[in-house]
Amino acid sequence: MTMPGLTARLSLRSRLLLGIVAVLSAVGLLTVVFMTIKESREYQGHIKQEMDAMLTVLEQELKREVIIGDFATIEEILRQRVQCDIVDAVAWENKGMSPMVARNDHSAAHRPKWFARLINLAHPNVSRPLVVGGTDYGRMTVSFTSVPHENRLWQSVLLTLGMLLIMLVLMVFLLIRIMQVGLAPLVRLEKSAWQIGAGDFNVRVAECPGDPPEMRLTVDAFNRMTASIETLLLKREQAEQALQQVNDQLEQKVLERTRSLEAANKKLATLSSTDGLTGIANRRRFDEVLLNEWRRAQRTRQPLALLMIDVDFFKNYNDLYGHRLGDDCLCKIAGILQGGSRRSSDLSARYGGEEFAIIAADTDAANALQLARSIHASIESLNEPHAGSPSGKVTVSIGVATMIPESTQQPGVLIEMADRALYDAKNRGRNRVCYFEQRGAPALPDEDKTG
Amino acid sequence: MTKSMKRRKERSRYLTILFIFILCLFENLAFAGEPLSFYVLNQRSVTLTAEYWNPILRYVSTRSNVPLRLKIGRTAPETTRMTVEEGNAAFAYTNQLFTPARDRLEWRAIARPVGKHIHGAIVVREDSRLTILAQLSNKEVGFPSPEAFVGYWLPMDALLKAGIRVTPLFGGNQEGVMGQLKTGRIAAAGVNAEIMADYATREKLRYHTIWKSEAYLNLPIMAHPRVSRNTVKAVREAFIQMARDEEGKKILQAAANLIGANGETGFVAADDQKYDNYRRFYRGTVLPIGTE
Repeated sequence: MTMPGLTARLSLRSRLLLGIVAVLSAVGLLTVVFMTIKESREYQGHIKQEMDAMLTVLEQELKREVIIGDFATIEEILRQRVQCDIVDAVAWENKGMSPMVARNDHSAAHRPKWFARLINLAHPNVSRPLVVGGTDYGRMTVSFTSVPHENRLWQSVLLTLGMLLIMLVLMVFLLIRIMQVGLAPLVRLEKSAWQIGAGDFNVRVAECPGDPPEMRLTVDAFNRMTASIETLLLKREQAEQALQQVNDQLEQKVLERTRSLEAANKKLATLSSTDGLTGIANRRRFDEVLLNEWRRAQRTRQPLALLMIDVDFFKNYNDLYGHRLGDDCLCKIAGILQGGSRRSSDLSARYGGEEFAIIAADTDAANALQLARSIHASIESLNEPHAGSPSGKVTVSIGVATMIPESTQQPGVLIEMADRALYDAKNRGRNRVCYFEQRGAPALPDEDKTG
Repeated sequence: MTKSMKRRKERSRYLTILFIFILCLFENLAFAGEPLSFYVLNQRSVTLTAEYWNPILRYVSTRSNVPLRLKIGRTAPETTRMTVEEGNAAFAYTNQLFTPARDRLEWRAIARPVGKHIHGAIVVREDSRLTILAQLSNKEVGFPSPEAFVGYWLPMDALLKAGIRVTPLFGGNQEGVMGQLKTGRIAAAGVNAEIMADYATREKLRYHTIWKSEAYLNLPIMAHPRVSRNTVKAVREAFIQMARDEEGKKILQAAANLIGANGETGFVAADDQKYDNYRRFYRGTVLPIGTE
């Protein structure tokens, strides 16, 4: 793991603790090293002074005794001098005699060897001749040892390190306590932030008297921010509700408008395909339905029948009874056509003037004739008076044509055939049904045949 | 006594003579090779004594061709005891061998430092009401030390002989007790009269002498009778010649500077009979030292 990654995982508390512990440890260790070096150097100077002082004292003490020749006292002096912990051995030797040596056997080394190597204190030997009044009384030698000072330095290092450790522990406890108290608002802040994140905007971070001023300011700012957010959210909710109401109203209006538009469109469509006088399909509607049924008949190879109906002597009727009654007469005939259709798919339409047409799908010649006769009978049974007609009542002539259209044929063929049958019915005296018989078609009654 | 016994006795006599001869031979050889002991009575500290006497003895040894070695005890009585008891003591600078018992050892003065005679004295401050010894009765009187001949033995002997009992207070050395007198710590002081005069001049101390001893010569250099006459002669000559020799003068001057002595330096031949007043004092003193 890289250092930035590791650092990112550490909490603020851990960072502070580690940082302070690292800094204090480094400063403490540097202080120990510096103090040890300083004391070592001071000791080097001190040991020189000690050596000179020791030799001077020893010289004064030994002079008298070597002059007197009191060897017991000399030994005693040497033993006394060697009691000094920095002295390893004290010796006096004279010509013609074995050296008298007193050794220090109580300077045990308590410090580790590596420490002694590190501070590298000298263990000097000094020697000085004993001359009184120009007479040689031998030579005294003092071997100094730095072990006691090394021990003292080591003890000092241990003491300093111990104090450093205690200081670090106290500092850590103190920091933990300070951070515990100081960062407590942050913990409360975090808890509140999670609650706010969960949608509870009523929550506020509690302020405690022991909180640091910076934290109190932060908590106060957070609470103000939360209050602002809550206000904003409330306003937004109110705005959304208002918007929703507006939307609902708008949708309702759109729906209403759409409905009215649809109704208008439907009405318009009805108006565009309905004859204004009679209320049945107009010529435009007739052409559309005929084309559709024509194509369907082409696909299904079913017969398509067309009935062309014309009111006999209708010009006379208008002349005799007026156009208003003429229109009424046309409406009555249209009502019969509309009611006389066999199926809902049959279309009755005003073809133009006093001419009507009926389109009957899937209808062969027999059924078409039956339909035509039924309509003819229904109109005749109206007994609508018509003084200008030889029959004294309103009658109609009907031309019937059926065919299974070929793919290459157009609907005009069927209209022309029905027209020819109608023309034929009029030529034969009107008030009759004529059928346009194609070559090869089934035989029909004679009065109905055309072609 | 049988013949064999006589023969045996003669043989042992010859052997004894031979043994003594050999001993004498070795003793002479020893004198020739080994340094002879030169004892110095403690007048100053041991070290200062050695610093004073070692250059002189080295000079004398060289010039006399008699090797001398300084010997000194921790105290004056110890040095005297060593001088008397050591078997090969040859020379001594002391005035304590004139007691009757030691005088029988036949040490003889051969030389002495040049200088005036010395006197013991009892002195008081000029403003003191004390004018005679009798007035010191039951008073505290200061002395340099219990071993001081002129400073203690002579005045105390005089006091005792006069039947005057005093309480002795020891000041450590001559000037120590003089300082006590000057401050009024003590009513009177037993002193070396010559040193007292010098001290009074220097310190502007006015004083009266209420008793003074006869004149005594300063400490002599004495030789043990076992030392051969030639050796003694050589040593004495070397001492006497020091003041006439450049090197000897330098050594004497350095020694004088060492102890702060002024005036004439060097040694002169000593007549042992001129020290008879010492012998008389020791014979007649009421102090315990005289009976030793």
